[in-house]
Formats: sequence, structure tokens, C-alpha cells
Amino acid sequence: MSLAEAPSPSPSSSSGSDDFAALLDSELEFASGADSAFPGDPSSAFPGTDDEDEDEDPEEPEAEAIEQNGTKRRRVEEQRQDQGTSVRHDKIPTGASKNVQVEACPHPGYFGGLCFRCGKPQDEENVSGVAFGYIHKGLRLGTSEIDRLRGADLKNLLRERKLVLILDLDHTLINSTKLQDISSAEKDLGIQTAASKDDPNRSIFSLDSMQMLTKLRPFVREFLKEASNMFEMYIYTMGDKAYAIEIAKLLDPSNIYFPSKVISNSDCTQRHQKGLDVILGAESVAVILDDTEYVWQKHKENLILMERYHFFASSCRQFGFGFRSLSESMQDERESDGALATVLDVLKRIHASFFDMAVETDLSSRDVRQVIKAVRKEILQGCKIVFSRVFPNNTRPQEQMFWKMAEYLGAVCSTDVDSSVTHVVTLDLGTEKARWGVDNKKFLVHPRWIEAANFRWHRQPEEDFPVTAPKEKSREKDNAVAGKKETSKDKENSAAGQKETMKDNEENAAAGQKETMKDKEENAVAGQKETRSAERNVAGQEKDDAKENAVATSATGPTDS
Amino acid sequence: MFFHIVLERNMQLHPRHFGPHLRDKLVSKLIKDVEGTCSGRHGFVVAIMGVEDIGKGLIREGTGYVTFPVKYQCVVFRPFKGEILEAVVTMVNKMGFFAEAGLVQIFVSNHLILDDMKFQSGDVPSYTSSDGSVKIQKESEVRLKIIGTRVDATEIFCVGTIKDDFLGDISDPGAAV
Repeated sequence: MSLAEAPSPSPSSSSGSDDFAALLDSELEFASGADSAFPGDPSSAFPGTDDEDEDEDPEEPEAEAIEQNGTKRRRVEEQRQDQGTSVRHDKIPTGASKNVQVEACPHPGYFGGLCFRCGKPQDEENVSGVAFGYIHKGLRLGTSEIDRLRGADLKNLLRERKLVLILDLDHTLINSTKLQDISSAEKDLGIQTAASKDDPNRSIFSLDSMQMLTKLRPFVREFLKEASNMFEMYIYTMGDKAYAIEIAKLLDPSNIYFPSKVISNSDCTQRHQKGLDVILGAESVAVILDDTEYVWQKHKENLILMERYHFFASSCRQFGFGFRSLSESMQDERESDGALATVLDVLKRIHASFFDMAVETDLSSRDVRQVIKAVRKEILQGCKIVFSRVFPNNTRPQEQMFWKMAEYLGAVCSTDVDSSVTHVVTLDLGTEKARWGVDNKKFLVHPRWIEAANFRWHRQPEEDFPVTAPKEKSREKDNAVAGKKETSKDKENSAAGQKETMKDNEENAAAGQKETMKDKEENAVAGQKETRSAERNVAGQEKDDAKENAVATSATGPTDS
Repeated sequence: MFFHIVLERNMQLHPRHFGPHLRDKLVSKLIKDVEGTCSGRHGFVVAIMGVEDIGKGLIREGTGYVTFPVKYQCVVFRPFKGEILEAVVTMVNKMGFFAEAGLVQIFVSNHLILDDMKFQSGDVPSYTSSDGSVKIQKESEVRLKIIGTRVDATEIFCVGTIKDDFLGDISDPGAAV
């Protein structure tokens, strides 16, 4: 109690009631001060307290409150004394029985600045632990307590056969736009009215308090429902708290998926970085679903990268795409095999693989990161890849993004051709390796094939990513990419591409072309700063944006289908 | 604990309120300003009972505002360390539960909950005793003892315990833990 710790209540204030309050304080402080002398000697404080109470009482006839308090406390303490250690944990120092071992309170955590075990105020200079403001305001836990809770939680989770899933909001599960950013085309299509309809199953919602519109990604409700059977879920967004809570209400109206588990930017311990330190779950069972890799520098191995969801025009504009957005073309990702459905399958695979009873190791020592790695390695297993004219000459190929990506996906990469090579990845049909590949009937693919495999968690048919002759590069490349199973972006582009004019193609191509070199390097996964990053930055875009551009434009191809 | 005390405050009044109803305006302004606020020394001011005395007003130099020292009686609520309170549980989680007694937020950590009360997660998280007889969940009433308080600018935080006799859930008669 802050007042109690004050040296002595100043009775200098004029009014009688102030004196009274001060008197009360002093009595209680006196009595309880003896109580709370932890590192001191609670057992000796005991008889002291009793004596003092008895002395004070006759002097304060009107201080009924104190008297009752004092006698009550005495009674309680006597009882406690009698019961000895049977009820009391011997670590709790609050006047426990005549304990010989006096242990200082380990201060497991703080609420409102008070240790919640002993009530002492937190030492101002020594602010340790992590703040858990999203659970309740003013809560702060120390590291040992967090570890203890994590361990207990892990046991519970493993018993229930659940893992931990951390979901990002923007561009992963939803896409939001400010009302003022709606394009005229969107206005004409009546998006705003769609948002104000009453149907609870609609996917466009309007957040009036923030003047925003939100579109839920197709399949998100089913995704959440299925994932909740396998995972304990958290929302972790870089938006602010009010926004996060509003969206959580939309995604989870009955508050069963994310009770007290909505983390926003104010809870991050590091600026612009997300971390698993504010999650009360063990790292070894945490799977992260996010569209940006940059914010998860410390936990890249737990991350499953997702394709960005761009529904609104403002979102496309923000990332620099030139084509019509999904909203303007009245199209949307397919539910049956859109990004969320794919990811759900992957999550199911990971879950099954983790809890596979046939494996020898004990559940508690398994690590979901290993499982993710293993599942990833199955994608391109058995492929041996040679790269041609994809990397600049003066760099080490092993450090290039595509090489690493291919290796993560389970393929073997090499710099030289030999008979065991299965794929030649190139941008240009005219290179020596490319011609060799054609001669030897090897698969000749565009680097985007690797990227597509990364996003779709599945080996894509090589015919969809042909390498074309330079003249037609732009259009064909787009076509090639368009051959990818239609994802949201494909749809956008098909929408865009339906017009099938040269101009359109060029536009998209241009959008794609701009990024050609940058694209490849920046695509998705590796947030690795490459030599290209200089180029990227020069282009004036942030790493992420460029990545996004890359990803989106990878789907740029108009489907000539 | 509730107290009935006399406090004093200097109220500033704009000249537009001067007139036959000066006193009433002053009292209503006082009520608006003070009820619901919190101070370190007195705790929360719950309600103003009446105005004891309004002193002579002093005109401030430079502005037309007039300052009146007002003495008023009010009921304040202030939790003390060692006090025993009843509170309503608002949130239960694996670290303990949060309860509130009026405007005071109290946290009872699971270190200070009896060992045989285990946390049950689920649709309605709760702390349940091993024989299932006692259940602490959202909206249940508990009697707890405050072991520390801290006053902020606008709020009072308390930390409590129910690891004592006669503390804990009080929905049933004689529900000692």
C-alpha cells in the first residue's frame, strides 16, 4: 500500500477527517508493517503484532474499524499459527506460522506495480519481466513465472493434442481499407452498402468507429473452426488495440477462439518486431501464420508464410500494383483451394506429423519446427536443380534466395549439370544449360516454379512454368505464372486479363517486368537481405512492399485460358 | 472500506453562473467534478452527501473567475491492506482471477489460491476444487483479503488472496474452503 510505505502520515492537514485517515493509516501500517517484514523475522513479528494491537485498541475508542480489523487479523493469524504449515506453502512469508525458513518472496509477477504474491510494490529501478497488457491492464510477469506457466501450459496442450497457432490479421485473414480510400469503381459497385447489410454471414463489414471497411478472406470462418480443434489460437497484429479487438469480434463473435488472446502493437516488446515472448505458450509447439517475414526475425523457423490477400483497391495501390483489385472486378479467392484452404491442409499435415504415435521420441521433447522443416522438405523431394542465368555472376549461388528456397523445399541444388539433374531453372532459353536441358529432356522451368511450390506447399506441374524465348518474355512469363492454380491474385489478374488486350498484358507485364530481377530475389520466404536489396531500396520500396509486389505480380499473368 | 468524511476543495466558477442560483450551480459543478474520481489519500469518492460550508469567493486577478473554498461531506471508498472484501469475479485464467469490488480491480494470483483448486480451461474457465464442491468462475462472488494496494492517478490496483480461512467462494452458505 503506497501510503503505508510512506514514512509517516503527516497529520498537518487541517480537517479532522484527514487526521482520522492518517490515524487509520498509521495504525494499519504499524500492524501490517510488522506483518510484511519478510526478509526480517515474521515469527518474532507475530507476538509483537498482537501486543501492539492490544495496546492500540483502548486508545482508539472511535476507531472501530481498526479494532475490528486488528482483532480479526489477530484471530486469523492465530489460527494460521495453529495450523502451522499444513495450509501454508512455506514460501509465503505473510506471517506464516513460526517458520524457521524465511524465504523472500520471489516476486513472480506484478499487478498494478504490486507483487501479486506478497503485495510489495515493485522496485522501480528493477523492472523486469514482460508486460501482458492484453490479458489485463497492469499485469506483468517475471521470467521464471512465465517459464513455469509455459511448462504447465505445454503439458495441458500435449494432453489435449493441440499445438499453438499464431495468426496475423492484415492481408492474412482479412483486408481492410479506410472509407476515404475507396476507389470510385468500388463505390459504384456498392461495396459500402454490402457492408451495411444485416446478414451475419457476410464477409464485408464496416467498422464505423474507425471509418474502415473490412473484408474477411474466403474460407476464414471454416478455417478458424477447424483450426481450433487442433490449435490454441492467438491473434498477433501490428495494428492497434482497438482495431485488433474489433476484428476479433468479427472473426469470433462468441469469443471462443481468442479469449484474452488478442495481441496488438502495444504489446510488442521490440519495435516493429513480433516476438513469442508475450505468448504464454512454448516455442516448441508454436506455428505462426503471417504474410510478412520481416517482423518475425527471431522466429523464422516457426513461420509459415502466406500469400497476401488484396481485396480492396487501396491495398493494391499501397503495394504498387497497377491492375484492378478483386473488389473492383467482383471476384474473390476461391474457397475450395484458396490460400486459407491450402494452409489448413498444411497445418493438418503438421499436426498429424507431430502427434504421430509411431515416432519414438517423447511428445514433450518434440519440436514443431522440426516438423515444419520435414514437411517442407517433402515438397520438392527428389528434384535436383541447376540454375542458369538466374543469379548474377559475382555472387555465390549457394547464398542466393532461390537456391536456399529450393533447398528448404527439399530439392538438391547444384551448379553443374550432370545426369542426375532433373530440373533446369532459368530465365532464358538461350543459355548453354538451358539447351542442354532441352536436349536431355529435363524439365525447364521458370524460377517462379520454385516460388509457387513454396506458397502452395505442393509441387506444381512444370508445364505451367515454361521458360520462353526472350521476345515474348513479358507476356509469356505472365502466362506461365498464370498457369499456377488460381489463387486470389490469379483471379485478380484473370479479371484484369480477361480483357486480353496487349495493353493489359503490357501493363501487367510492366508491373511484373519492373520487378523482374527484384521479383525473383525478393519473392516470399527469404526476407534475406541480398545484394538485390540495394536495388530494391533504390526503387524506393520497402523490402516488404517489394516482396509483396513480387508475390502479387507473380500471379500477374492474365490467364489466356 | 467506506468512510464518511469532510473534504475541502476550491471550486472555480465562471461569472456567467452568478445570480440567484449561484450556490446550486456551485454544488452541481462540485458533484460533476468530484464524484467518481479517485485520490491516493482518500480513495474513490463515491457520492457527495451534502455541502457543509461555502466560503467567501475570491476573484482571480486577470480572469473573471471566482474561487470558492467548499467544504463538503462525502462517502469515500478505499481499500486497505489486510482488509477483507467481497468482490465479483470478472475474468479467470491460468494465472489467477481478476475480480472487482466497485471501482477497485483486484487480482488474485494462483499462488494465493488453495492448492487443491485447479484451473479448468474451456468455455467457462474456472477454478474448481478437487471434490468439485467449490467453483470460482466469472460472475461468482468471492470473499478475499487484500494484501497490497496501489493507487494510480485514476485507479486503484489491489492484490488479494483467498488462501485463508473463510475466504473464497461465497455463493453457498457456510462455504469455507
